[in-house]
Amino acid sequence: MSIPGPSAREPNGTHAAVVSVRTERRGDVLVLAVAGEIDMATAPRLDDAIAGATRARPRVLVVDLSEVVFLSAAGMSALMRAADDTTAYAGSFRVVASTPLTQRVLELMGLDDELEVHRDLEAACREPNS
Amino acid sequence: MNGRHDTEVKVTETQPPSQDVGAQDDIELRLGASLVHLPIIRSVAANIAMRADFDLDAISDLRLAVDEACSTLITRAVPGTTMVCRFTIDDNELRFRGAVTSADDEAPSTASFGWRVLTTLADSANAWVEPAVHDGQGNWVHVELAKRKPELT
Repeated sequence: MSIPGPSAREPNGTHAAVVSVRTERRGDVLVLAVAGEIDMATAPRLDDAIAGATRARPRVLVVDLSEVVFLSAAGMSALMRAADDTTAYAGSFRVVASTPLTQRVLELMGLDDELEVHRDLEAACREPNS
Repeated sequence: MNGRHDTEVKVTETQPPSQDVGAQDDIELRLGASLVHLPIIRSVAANIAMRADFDLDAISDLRLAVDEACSTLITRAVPGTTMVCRFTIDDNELRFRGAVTSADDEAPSTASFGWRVLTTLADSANAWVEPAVHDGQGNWVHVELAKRKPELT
């Protein structure tokens, strides 16, 4: 399943930021591979994808930020909500931060302590349920 | 408000916080107070920081801090109005100031996660509100932040 990025166009032809979310199932692990810029305009798209994913109650939900080139407070809030939603049904939530940009901002905001952050997707999928 | 009942809100060009047009190196952006413009503001901020010799981490920090400042402002702006952004560079720091007209009477909350991100990434930040004296419609909400230039070693 693929949710295409928006081609949001204001009347004057300005393009909003673009984010896309690709969903991939690996056994009982559900991976949301996010690409693009997550700002206040596009974070609702990530929120929607996470809400859809948690409804299926996967044992492990992984949000892969490898192709994310901008991550704002709205995006980080979406990740924290995902952690809460997953914990609520005793699932496990993991984030893949493989780039300096995402690693740096998650560390600066202390989210590497609050969230289970992995450096690559394979490790995030392999890790046993905690 | 003020006896006006315009249904179509025109882009405003009223009295922005740019009383001081003196500095030749300042860069001012005026754009619709809409979240769709965030990518443009981010790229301008990053470009200015790059040309001011900020390192990659500082450029990335400034890009995010300015994005949070503008997101905060845009969500408080009267729909259809203009946001004014101003970048000032001196020997020590890069300063960003943004303002929108708003129906809010209070400065943006400093308790929000967005504000925490902003203050973590900038070296100083401030938000305040002032009455829009000219047309009596709401207030100007301001956000200001500064990022120090990296020390040359």
